[in-house]
Amino acid sequence: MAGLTDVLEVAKRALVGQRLGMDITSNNIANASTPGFSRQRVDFAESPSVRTRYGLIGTGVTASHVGRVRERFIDQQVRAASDTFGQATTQQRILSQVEAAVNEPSDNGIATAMSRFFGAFQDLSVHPEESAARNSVLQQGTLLAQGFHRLTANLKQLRGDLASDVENKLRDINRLTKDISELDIKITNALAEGLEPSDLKDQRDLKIDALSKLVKVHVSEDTNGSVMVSVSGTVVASRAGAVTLSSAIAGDQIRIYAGNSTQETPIRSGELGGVLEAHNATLPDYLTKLDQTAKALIDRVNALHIGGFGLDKPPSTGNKFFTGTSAENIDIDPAVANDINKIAASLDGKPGNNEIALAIAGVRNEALLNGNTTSIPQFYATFVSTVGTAMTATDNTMRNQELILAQLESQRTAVSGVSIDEEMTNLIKYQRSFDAAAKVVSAVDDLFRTIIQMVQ
Amino acid sequence: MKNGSFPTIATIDQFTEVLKTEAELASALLEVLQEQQRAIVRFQDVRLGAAIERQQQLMKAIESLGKEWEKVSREFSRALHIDTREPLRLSVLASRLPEKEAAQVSKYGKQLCSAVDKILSVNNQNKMLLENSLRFIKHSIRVMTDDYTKKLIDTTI
Repeated sequence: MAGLTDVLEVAKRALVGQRLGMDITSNNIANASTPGFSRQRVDFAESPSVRTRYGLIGTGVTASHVGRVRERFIDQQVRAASDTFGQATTQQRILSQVEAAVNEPSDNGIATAMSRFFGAFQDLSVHPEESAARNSVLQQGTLLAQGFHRLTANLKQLRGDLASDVENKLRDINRLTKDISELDIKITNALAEGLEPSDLKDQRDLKIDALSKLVKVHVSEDTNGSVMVSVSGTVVASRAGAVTLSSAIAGDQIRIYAGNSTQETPIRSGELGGVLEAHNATLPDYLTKLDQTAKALIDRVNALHIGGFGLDKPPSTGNKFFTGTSAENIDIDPAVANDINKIAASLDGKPGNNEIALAIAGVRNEALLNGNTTSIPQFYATFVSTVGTAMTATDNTMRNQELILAQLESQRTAVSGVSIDEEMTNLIKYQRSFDAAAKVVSAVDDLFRTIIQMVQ
Repeated sequence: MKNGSFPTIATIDQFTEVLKTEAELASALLEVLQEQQRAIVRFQDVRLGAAIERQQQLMKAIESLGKEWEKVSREFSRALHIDTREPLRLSVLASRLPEKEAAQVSKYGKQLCSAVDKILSVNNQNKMLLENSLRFIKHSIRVMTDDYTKKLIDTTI
């Protein structure tokens, strides 16, 4: 009887094992379309054998592994690609806005305004006494100044928007690190109780993936199943809790700090890295170049204009044409703005003389910037082309990373994704094994009945 | 009418035809490379193999067309008194032709240049994707043959 009971026990273990297999398979099928779901697998092993007078006899089957099929190498690659993709996407978005603000080539851009300004002085040199030519100089000068104001205002507005963007990204990062920490605690507690929290692990991985797009992360896992997520060497999420990232302004730069640390946490990649780079480096550089262009123009035109004579009586001299020192504050001198006769075209005070007008028109070709190697229009053109080149490079990076991410997702799906065909095959396999085990139970039941009838 | 003597109509037609065919072959090659890219991203080896075969056929056609191009462009250059030792520039050729023919040469030339630029770009992307695949293959081999601590299944019960 004891022997038959053992057989029944073996059959029972088989039933339990195959039913577990069917549970896992049906869960896989149910979650085939769930984002971030990793298919699960159960591995069976022989139960320990027992010594009998006939030798060692097996005692059936037991489930030795139940877990996710997940490839950490792919996860690392996906996170690295996401971080670069996130940065490139952000840069592309920002550069698009810069390109739109710069608006070149176009009739409304600064390049055309500069050309028209110098052209107006050229016309004035031909007709130095004509008020139409003088009005044109005033008008083109005003439009040029407005062009500088507009572009500066747009770039500064964009920079201000980026500061808000930083706060939004930090909020997202802190929410994710908090979620990761909470999940980590639940996972380690479950593992300590001998449970396998595959669903929680999937959720944790999804959160880490989302975080990796915002900022470059390094993930390490210990043997207890707990993870430590660090950013630039600072642990921001772990079983011990989440560390909040915050921002502070230092001068005109945004700096990121972790927790109560006074040491900056340098963020150089991910969406947050892209925004910080644009705010702290790219846009200030563009604003500086714009200011350099405007200042060179102001200084040189004024230097010539001050030495010239107007058309008023007596001919005024010593007047600036522009006021201001930068692209933000360049303007027409009020004296000139209120009286076009104060526009200096003459070098010697005689009405027909046009040498100053000619000289100012010639400023367009003077090498005044970059150590006297580049003219003002060339300098501005180089600035515009820098924006274009940066845009092209970012587009290429974005496209490349998009392809790599698509490829990595295919790899991930191949490893961790649910194949309905495979699961259906497994289901049939477990079902048949379950049927076979049930037959064993039925057979043992018959044997029990036979033995009982024997003794009745 | 432009400077120098003029090639025959047959030569101009031949030249334009070769240029047009080159542009079409370049466009076809670009499509094949894009198909390869899709196959590499999705790990579809059969599809990739078929695309590589088509690429090889196209390369053969481009190679034989190259010889034809050399012959026609030399005749053309001679007829237009252009130095045959220098690489032939389409812009120089077009400037020596009547308007209608110049427009056609420019059109096919632009098509060809645009296709070649895109071919270079897609080719570089495919190279990058293949390098990425190779990294994964090397890692998988290492997992299977070397580092036993890296498991595919991440836990036990």
